[in-house]
Amino acid sequence: MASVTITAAGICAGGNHLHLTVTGAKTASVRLDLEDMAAPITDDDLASFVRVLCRLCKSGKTPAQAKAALQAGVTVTA
Amino acid sequence: MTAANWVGGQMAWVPGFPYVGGVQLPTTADILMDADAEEVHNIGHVYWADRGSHTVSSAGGKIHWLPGASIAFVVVASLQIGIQDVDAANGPPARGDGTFDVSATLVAGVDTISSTTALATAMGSGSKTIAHGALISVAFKLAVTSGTQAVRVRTWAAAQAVAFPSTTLITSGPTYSVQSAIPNIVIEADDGTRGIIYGTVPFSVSPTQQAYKNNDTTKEYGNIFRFNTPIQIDGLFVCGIASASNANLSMVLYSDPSAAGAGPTATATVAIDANTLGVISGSSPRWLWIPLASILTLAANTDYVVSLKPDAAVNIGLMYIDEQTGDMAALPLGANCYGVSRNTIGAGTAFSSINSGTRRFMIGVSVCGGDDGAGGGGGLAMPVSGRICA
Repeated sequence: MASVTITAAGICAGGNHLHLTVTGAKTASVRLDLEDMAAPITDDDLASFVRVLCRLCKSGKTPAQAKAALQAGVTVTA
Repeated sequence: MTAANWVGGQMAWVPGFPYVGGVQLPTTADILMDADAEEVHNIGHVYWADRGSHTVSSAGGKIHWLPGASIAFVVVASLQIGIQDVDAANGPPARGDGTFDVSATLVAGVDTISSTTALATAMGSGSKTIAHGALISVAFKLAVTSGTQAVRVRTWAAAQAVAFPSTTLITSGPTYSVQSAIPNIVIEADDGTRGIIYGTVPFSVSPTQQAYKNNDTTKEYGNIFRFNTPIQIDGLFVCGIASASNANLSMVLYSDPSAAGAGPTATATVAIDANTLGVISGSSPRWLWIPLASILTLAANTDYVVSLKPDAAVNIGLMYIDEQTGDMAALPLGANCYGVSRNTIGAGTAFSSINSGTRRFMIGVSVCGGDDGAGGGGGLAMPVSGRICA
């Protein structure tokens, strides 16, 4: 199972602009408005999230292993 | 002169909604400035309504923009709004060169910025002559001495960042972050000419859904429009929604839309069974693209209406945006395209404008051909009495 960690590496003086770093199986630098996080999660958002999560789950696995992992269930805790 | 179809179909969707006129849903994104020296830059090429060159200065120049939600603009803060050249030595993401050639400064406690209330900010100093197509940045820069501030610039939300036009947020560092956003700006020159950033369709009221059904007082909504040359069309499009599987609807093209008595006349009607749609929703609009059974020729300088009509007592929705007075001139088809409605469906009841011609529904036609320039005079298949000829 691939693992990524999201960390707020910086916050602006106003307190609402977050600089997030993604480390682990994938790396990225993402900037986010804190209030974006209060926006409702749409069905389209959720579908995109599941697709990305499944790709992370597949990372480094054979298709059979990925299916087995998903059949066992994947839990995301934030 | 004779009509000629362009090769292929689905050519030009008019009035266009660049970028959002596709799979992208018409939603907004607020770009936040909440700390000293934070900036929002809207970068792209100016498209003047008359394709000329115009000066923007304190002698009448304005920047029309829409603040986002939840604004806190309190003492002690100020917001500089203006136009910069684009920095060609740094980036991406694109940004202005840091020098406001023309600008205004709003001062908290003196000037008011209200949530989702459009502003036409008059320039206070400087002068900039901008050629048609010039690359510029319309920049907002917050200065904070004290207090908790939150100034947001409302844009079109994009699924991902776009190369042109683009929006960049500058935060401390400075750090430049391209936004998944399309600028929402209108420039008013000293002489009143409006310009937009090419690739955008600005709005002063965020995209909103007009919900209605066939037993409401107002039963039909759409756009009146006219071209100044004869054109041919092969389809209709709309950003709307059926709220339920029995919310059947029709798209209708009318000639003589403003005529009492015999008009308006439904020249093309496409009925849509809601069961055949990919998705239905009470709130989330979707794009529909529908071919006409045959190509139609629209006459020059003649009004038509394309409408979305409910065929049941079940809500359908049609998306619209509003513009500040005069800004429609910079949009596709200019002031010749605006929202209309009527309370009675059927021939003989004219359409009337909504919001004094400042509303535009997200509905239109697919242009597929025009005059081939060959032959003698007499015009292209000019319809008798302004009616559409198939």
